[in-house]
Amino acid sequence: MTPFELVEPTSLHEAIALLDPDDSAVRPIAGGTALMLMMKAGVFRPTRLVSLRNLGDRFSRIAAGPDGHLTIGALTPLSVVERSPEVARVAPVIPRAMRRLSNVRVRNVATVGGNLAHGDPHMDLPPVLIALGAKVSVAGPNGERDVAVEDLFAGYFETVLAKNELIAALHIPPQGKSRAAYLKVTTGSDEDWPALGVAVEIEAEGLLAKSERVVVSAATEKAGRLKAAERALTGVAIDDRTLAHAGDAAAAEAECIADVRGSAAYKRELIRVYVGRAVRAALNSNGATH
Amino acid sequence: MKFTGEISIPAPRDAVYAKVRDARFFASCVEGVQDLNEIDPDHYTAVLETKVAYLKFKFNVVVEVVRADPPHEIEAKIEGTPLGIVGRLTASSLTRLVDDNGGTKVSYEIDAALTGKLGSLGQPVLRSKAKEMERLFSERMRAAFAKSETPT
Repeated sequence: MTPFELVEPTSLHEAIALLDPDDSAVRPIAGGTALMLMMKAGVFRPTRLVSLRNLGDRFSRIAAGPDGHLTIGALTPLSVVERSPEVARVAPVIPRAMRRLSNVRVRNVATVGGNLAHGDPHMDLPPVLIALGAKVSVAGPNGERDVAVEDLFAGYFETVLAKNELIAALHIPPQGKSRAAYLKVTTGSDEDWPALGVAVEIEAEGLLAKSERVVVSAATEKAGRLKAAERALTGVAIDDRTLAHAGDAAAAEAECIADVRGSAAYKRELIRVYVGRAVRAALNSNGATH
Repeated sequence: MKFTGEISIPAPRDAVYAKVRDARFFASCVEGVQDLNEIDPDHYTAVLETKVAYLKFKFNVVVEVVRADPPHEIEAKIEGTPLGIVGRLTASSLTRLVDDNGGTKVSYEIDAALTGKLGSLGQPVLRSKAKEMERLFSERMRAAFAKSETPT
């Protein structure tokens, strides 16, 4: 491994100043679970890592507003999110999805902000957060801005964040009567990286869908919504026929990519089947399973 | 993983073939190729570097021209060993040149496979980079012929 500088700033302002807007060999590091893999693989050789560990408690807190709004500090470890009663109350789909997100050792160290900033389309959390309509507060040299998680990803391992911007917090809006589910399809072991992730949030009166978000990840270059599948479900009664129709629309819309977990054609078929299953899982969820 | 494409070049086929067969020129059209070394007229080595976001992939590449049928076709085999990551890149390419109203239509088919750790990480990277590399390649090819057409 080539030597690099490790700096440990104690304020957000200082951390941002230590990043370089023009040099991708200078990166922030939080839990480091993903970045270390890239370094071990030899595809990332940093000149400087800016550790965010000493930025203080305010970036690792979870707070729920009286209206059901949830704010999660970017440095909160995934296992803390997984066990948080506030998160379980507002968005039970998150702790359910977490149980199959990597393994407990990784979840103890990896952070919410790092999970999003990494931009890996195989991550389980981003599709769930897009489905929930979440956004992030992003801090940079010119102050803070909000970015919807849906708009955060620009491509394979690429985000819209500038090299000297940091995710400070994650905001999940009140979920009202919506229900959500995340289905993860692995072609290797159970906790392996997914070949496909499908997250669905749906608000329905009985079986009549009023509004929904359908999000696909892992099979595509970046996590994103499938608007054609959403249109196929809006305002219709959910039954086998409409779910098959939504699955077809999703398979036609998603730009699948081949990798070691399956060919593009295989993943397209997975989408065709799993979109319907995810909608059913969301409708049947009631915070209990999936 | 297959890539196909077509480039129209406003120059006669013989001239285009001669240029495409010139490894130094060809390599100058591919983004990220460094240290091209000619072992013999059918074998070359080079270093290929490609970048996506903050990740950098570097390969030692060996290119073998398997079949050259002037001025119609060139078939080549490419083997790449990545630096610092376990895996292997193997690819075969077929380039066809067809007369097209006084100009030349160059069509290509590349079939590439990545194995090992490189496969899980690198395959989508290569795919997302491929479009950009193809665009730059055709731009540089066209520019080279536009230049050679300019009277001196």
